[in-house]
Amino acid sequence: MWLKTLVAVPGSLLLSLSLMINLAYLPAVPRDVYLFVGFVGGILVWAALLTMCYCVDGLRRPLLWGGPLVLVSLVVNSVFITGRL
Amino acid sequence: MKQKRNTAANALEAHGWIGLFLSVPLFIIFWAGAITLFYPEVQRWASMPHYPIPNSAAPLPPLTKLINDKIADYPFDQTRQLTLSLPGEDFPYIKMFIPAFDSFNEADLARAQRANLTQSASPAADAITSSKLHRLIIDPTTGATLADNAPFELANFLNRLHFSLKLPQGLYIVGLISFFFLVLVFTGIVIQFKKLISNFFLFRHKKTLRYKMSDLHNAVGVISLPFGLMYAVTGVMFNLSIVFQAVTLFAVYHGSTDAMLRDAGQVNFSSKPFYLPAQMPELTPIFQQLEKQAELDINRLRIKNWGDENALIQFSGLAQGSFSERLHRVYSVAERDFSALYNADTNNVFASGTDMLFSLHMASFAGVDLRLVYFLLAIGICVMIVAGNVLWLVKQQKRKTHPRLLALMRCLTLGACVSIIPATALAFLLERILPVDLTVRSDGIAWVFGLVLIGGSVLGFYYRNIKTFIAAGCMVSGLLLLILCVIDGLVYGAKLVNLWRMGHGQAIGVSLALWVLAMILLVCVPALMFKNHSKKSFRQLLLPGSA
Repeated sequence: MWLKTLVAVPGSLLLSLSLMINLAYLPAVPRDVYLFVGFVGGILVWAALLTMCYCVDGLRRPLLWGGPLVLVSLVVNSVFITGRL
Repeated sequence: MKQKRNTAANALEAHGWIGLFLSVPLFIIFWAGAITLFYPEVQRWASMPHYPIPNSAAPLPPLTKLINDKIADYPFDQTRQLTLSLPGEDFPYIKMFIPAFDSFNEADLARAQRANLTQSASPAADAITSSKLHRLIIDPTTGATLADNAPFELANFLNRLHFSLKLPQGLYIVGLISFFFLVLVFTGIVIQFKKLISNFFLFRHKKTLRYKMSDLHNAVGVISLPFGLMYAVTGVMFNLSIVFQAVTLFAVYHGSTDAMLRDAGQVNFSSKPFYLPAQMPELTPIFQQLEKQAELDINRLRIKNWGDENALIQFSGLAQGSFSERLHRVYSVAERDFSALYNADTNNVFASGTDMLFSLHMASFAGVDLRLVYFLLAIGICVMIVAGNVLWLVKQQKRKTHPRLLALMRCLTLGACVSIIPATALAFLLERILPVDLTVRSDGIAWVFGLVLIGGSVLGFYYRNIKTFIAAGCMVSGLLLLILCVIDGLVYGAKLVNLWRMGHGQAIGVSLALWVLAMILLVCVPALMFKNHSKKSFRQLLLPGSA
């Protein structure tokens, strides 16, 4: 439980934040709508991801799903943030 | 099938342990939050018997003259924010928060130094000295100062206990607790998912106390699910927003705070003084014009740089016809107008959405009836927390793992959850009987509350008879409230009745509610002490193996 909590809390936060920042670069979404959806959605996704981690045995499966997703999401964000597209 | 069983079992394991560790602070948060729902009533009950009854039909005194008169009595620090809270549902008197230096000499010195430093463009100009805040209560009819030490702070103390536990960095601690409460809600849904409907009305009253507690925990959890979900999400929003703000600021706005605030429907309401004395405009006509034009019920003014050419005055209030939307309009003295620089677009999804969620959290839109439903749901969650804790402790005791940790949590749950009731009752009693001009009145009540809570928690470690401990807690609380009601009746009875006749029934309403609570608590004592609840007693439930 302790190890799962220590790894999953920051891991799920990172993934939820990164996914919500991906949303910011969807051109059709007005900024005020994005900020509200990102704020509330980010919290819900963070808690949902952590719950998913708690619901499976060990940390292997969450890392197998979440690891690549975080990487892809972070790469997309870094491309947009550094302005290469 | 095996996987599904594992999912529910894993969720139960996480639900149980997280719940056990969070139980005591979560209980305190919900308990304080339940009372905070009646913040306006408690404020009125505490203060109104001590002060003249305000005439709500009379116009407010001229605001500019009022501010100038009041700040003249203090070494006013114009660089800090001056706040004026107008009479309303929360509080029938004017509150004014005046930032001031310790002495008039220090104020003159700081003003001169700041002016010199500003002229020489030094970045240190704004950080010379700190100032303290004088909190005035003013009669809205006469403009007379009734108190300058904010003597009635019980409602504020309970509010702070709710959102920060009165701890250093408590805001973030409560934010984390709210987040884990959200995880508890989600894991609870996973555990109960298949039985969410079928077990909705299940209460096995003929079974042992353990079954009853289990059914109570599940039933309250399911009934209060939307309420609990809303509280958990909004709790994280208010207390941990800094995480989301910081990342959004860096990743989306490339560090531009102004741009982010503007998109969020807010403005950076800060400016430095020019150190050029200026005549302040008469606020009352601006205030009245704004109420008509912007359809705004103004209840608060925040002022920066009062008396300076660069003064900013923010008028805040609830949009008329809306149950939650708060609007802010900033008047710039330099421009003699509502400058576009300081006024954001009013039609903003983020601002109106967060306002709506804030209102849902605080029930600020609701009347007493709906807040009573909120109160019962919050107390229901408190009961659910204790029941869940007991169930998990019993389950783990059977497994015979972590005996010391379980003993610690058992004693803490018992001690803290029971002793918060007499602590609250004593705080209410002190709020009523302590002299109004006592300097340490507010802090004293907070300290006594904390000491009773800690003392009761420590007693929980030594008291072996659980039923007697709960009964003692109920009896002490009931007696304290009864004493309070007797004092209310004998000393303040005539004033409370007079207030009721003048249309301020909240004060006597609180007194009557406290009397009802005292009766309920005192009736619980013999029920706990002498009634045989079930074959398994409380003691056998919590201490398996004990006779």
